[in-house]
Amino acid sequence: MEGKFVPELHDIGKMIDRDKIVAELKSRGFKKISFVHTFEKFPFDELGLKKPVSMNWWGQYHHFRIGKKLIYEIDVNKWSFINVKDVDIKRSIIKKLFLLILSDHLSASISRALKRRTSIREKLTKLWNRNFNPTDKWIAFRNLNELSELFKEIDECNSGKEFLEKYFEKLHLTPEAKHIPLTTLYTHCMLTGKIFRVLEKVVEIGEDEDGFYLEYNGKRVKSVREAEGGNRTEKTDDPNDYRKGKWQFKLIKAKIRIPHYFTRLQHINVIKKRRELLEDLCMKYSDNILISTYDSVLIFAPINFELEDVFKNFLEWGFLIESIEIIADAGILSSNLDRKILEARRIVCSKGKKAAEKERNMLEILKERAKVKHVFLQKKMPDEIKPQICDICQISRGKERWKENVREWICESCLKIENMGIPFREYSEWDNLELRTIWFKIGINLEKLEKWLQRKFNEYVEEKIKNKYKEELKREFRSLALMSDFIEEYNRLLEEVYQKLCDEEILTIKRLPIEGYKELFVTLADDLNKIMKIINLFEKIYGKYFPNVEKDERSPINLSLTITTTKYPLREIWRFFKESEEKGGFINIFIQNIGGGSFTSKEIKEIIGLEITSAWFNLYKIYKEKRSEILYQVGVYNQYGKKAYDILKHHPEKIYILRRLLKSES
Amino acid sequence: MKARFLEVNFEVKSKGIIIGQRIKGGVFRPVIDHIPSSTVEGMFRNILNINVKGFGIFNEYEIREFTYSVRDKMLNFSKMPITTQYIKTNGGKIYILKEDQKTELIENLVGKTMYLGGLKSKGFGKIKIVGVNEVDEGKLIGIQGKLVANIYLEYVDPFEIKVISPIYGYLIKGTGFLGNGLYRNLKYIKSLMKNSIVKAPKILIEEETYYDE
Repeated sequence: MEGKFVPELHDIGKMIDRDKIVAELKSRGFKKISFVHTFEKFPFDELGLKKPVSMNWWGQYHHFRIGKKLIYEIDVNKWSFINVKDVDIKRSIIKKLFLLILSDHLSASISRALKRRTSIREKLTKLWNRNFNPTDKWIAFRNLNELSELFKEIDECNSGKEFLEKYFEKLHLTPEAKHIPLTTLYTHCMLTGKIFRVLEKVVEIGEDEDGFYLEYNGKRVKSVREAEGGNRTEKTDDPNDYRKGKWQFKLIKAKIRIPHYFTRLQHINVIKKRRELLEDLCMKYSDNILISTYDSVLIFAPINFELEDVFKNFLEWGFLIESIEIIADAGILSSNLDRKILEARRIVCSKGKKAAEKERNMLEILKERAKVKHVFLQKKMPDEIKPQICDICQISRGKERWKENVREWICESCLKIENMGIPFREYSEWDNLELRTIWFKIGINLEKLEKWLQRKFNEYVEEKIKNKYKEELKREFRSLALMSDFIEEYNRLLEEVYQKLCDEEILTIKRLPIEGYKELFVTLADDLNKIMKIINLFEKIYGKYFPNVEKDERSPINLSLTITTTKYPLREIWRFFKESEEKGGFINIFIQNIGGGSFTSKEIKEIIGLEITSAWFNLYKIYKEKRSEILYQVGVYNQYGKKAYDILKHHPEKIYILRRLLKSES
Repeated sequence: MKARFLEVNFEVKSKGIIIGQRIKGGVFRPVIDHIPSSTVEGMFRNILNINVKGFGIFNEYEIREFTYSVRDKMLNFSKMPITTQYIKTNGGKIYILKEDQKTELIENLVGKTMYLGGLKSKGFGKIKIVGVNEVDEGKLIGIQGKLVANIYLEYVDPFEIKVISPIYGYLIKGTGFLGNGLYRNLKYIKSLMKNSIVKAPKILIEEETYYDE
């Protein structure tokens, strides 16, 4: 048995034009076609094709059936299809296939336990871009001749990375599952590979008087079913659906927060430091980290995984790690399980046990099977500090120093951050220009993304599935793979925004203020309507990648802009960005000395499009001073008529910010 | 014995309240949006010369900015202007752990004018105590959630707080009170910061959470 085992390869059969190949087989006289996307029962000999012999071949058995039973329900000692005499090789095949099945289940976007399939047989659909049409470009293997290539791939492929790179485009155009064609095969294969390698390090195969067993965390099992337990979180007639599994794993959603108080330009180096540390972390834990953004990671880990060790470097630099740990049986572990559990608990608490029977049942089933913990991590701190404390991190003792005639206190690690250099030297030179600056940041909120995906998935199921099982589908949706796909598109959006900002000369200096950090930009407010140019450019590119995502507070992506003097503290700008990301709307604007507000795309267009005179400010003054909405509304109606009234009658504060923005820009 | 609290209601009688985050060398001074234990302790030390354990919250508020310049009377010139944030609100509540021997002193404050926070000379911080009541038992039920204010770590036991997921920081504390807001032996004491996840009486919780403990 030659070669490595490449888990990413397990679904290579999904890249074939099955209809065409089946037709070809039928034309050659094959009546019973018994393959879907795996080739364990493929008629190699009859077709004169060479059956693969590498280790990878065994991955084709991940959906195998013996009689009516699926492979994951069967004792590994009864996997009679592994007809290999060498015990060591047999042991290795069993372990690898076992872990492949487990990781395939963990990375799926719908619980594999759902027996009732949908009637959908569609090409890849993107929930955020329903215009997307992969045409036929997704097919990698079109006919029986090309299948030989596929078998050669199974025989010769030695690296998951190579496979993903070689078929990058096609894997991105192929759905993971045709009956729910919402996730790319690329993401599914990538996640399966990562999870497989994490499992491989912690699971051992052994032998006792009853034959082989697989052991993890001191728990021995003989079937995948025994390890993962039931795959559903809500009660059904089948007791297997919710029985306790023996193996539990963790999914950790960690956010790296910056608690530092920026005072000088150099202190934004702390963002650069976070990026550097995050890059190192993603390299070191490349398999554990399933998803990463500029400030968050989603980690898959065994139960005894110590977060403090993982984030040690971040803690030393004063970062605050906020993490939510989902600890659950492998059968139900998913990235949105925490939201389901916490929401059910909230409903039970607010409605009472009787009124929330459904949620109570779910929590009862999950009682022993899942936990959701919240953990903050910080560096070790002494019980007291003698004055003075560090001005920047405020958790270490600071050393006194004088800088530019100001007495300051700074600790060693913050000094190191300061000494990383001036990140955007031109910014300090803008002081003399007497122009204001526009800092702007694009952000993504993963919590909102999860909620958005669930909502859109529900809508998709309502649209496509008419049978009574649609509620089950909605409940057992797992957001992990779709999140990964969405974030990949988000990163493309960031690339394009930066490129266009340079091309259209919106950025005064064609450079990012923090190298490699593509969410943050700064430019001089030297051009009329620059803010509107930025907003329009962002919306245009957003519309290209996410045409089916709302342009309001429901969107997981947002744009925040500030207009301030160069002297305005960056810490406050950063605070506005972070608050907008967590609680704000689609477009968030802050103008120094005026205030800030959140807007939908529609609001901006409507308000900006109105021709209203500066007399409107008098009405606003009345509204603020008299605190009377009625007086304000009557004034608006009298001065601007019905059409404008419908737009202007609500949210005078928002209108004020936007009108001031236009006024200050012109 | 179950912890009992006094609720001290106040109205703001000035343009706002400034409870600054530690002052940095810069020319911008941010504020915090609640009343930490250190401020409550300092305030009662000043007016009644008693030690109390407490924290406070504001009613609905806005954060605004105020720019001023410190005048050097000796040299007769103004230094660089400083912008400070302040809390614009109509009032708030201070919660104090009830200790019988101090209750009467605190209750007698009703109707009195006091100062909370900094920059009194610029017209900030004036408040009027409008009521002192014992907190109802219903508001003392223990629930899990995000801590509403920064409090000294040493208050965890007397306030009956179970710490689940803490954020630590430091609050200043003086051991030798010299009067008029001045202390000898100032030091920073490890404290439990706002948004830590705790199980505590309802009055200490800003937003309920449902995590496993």
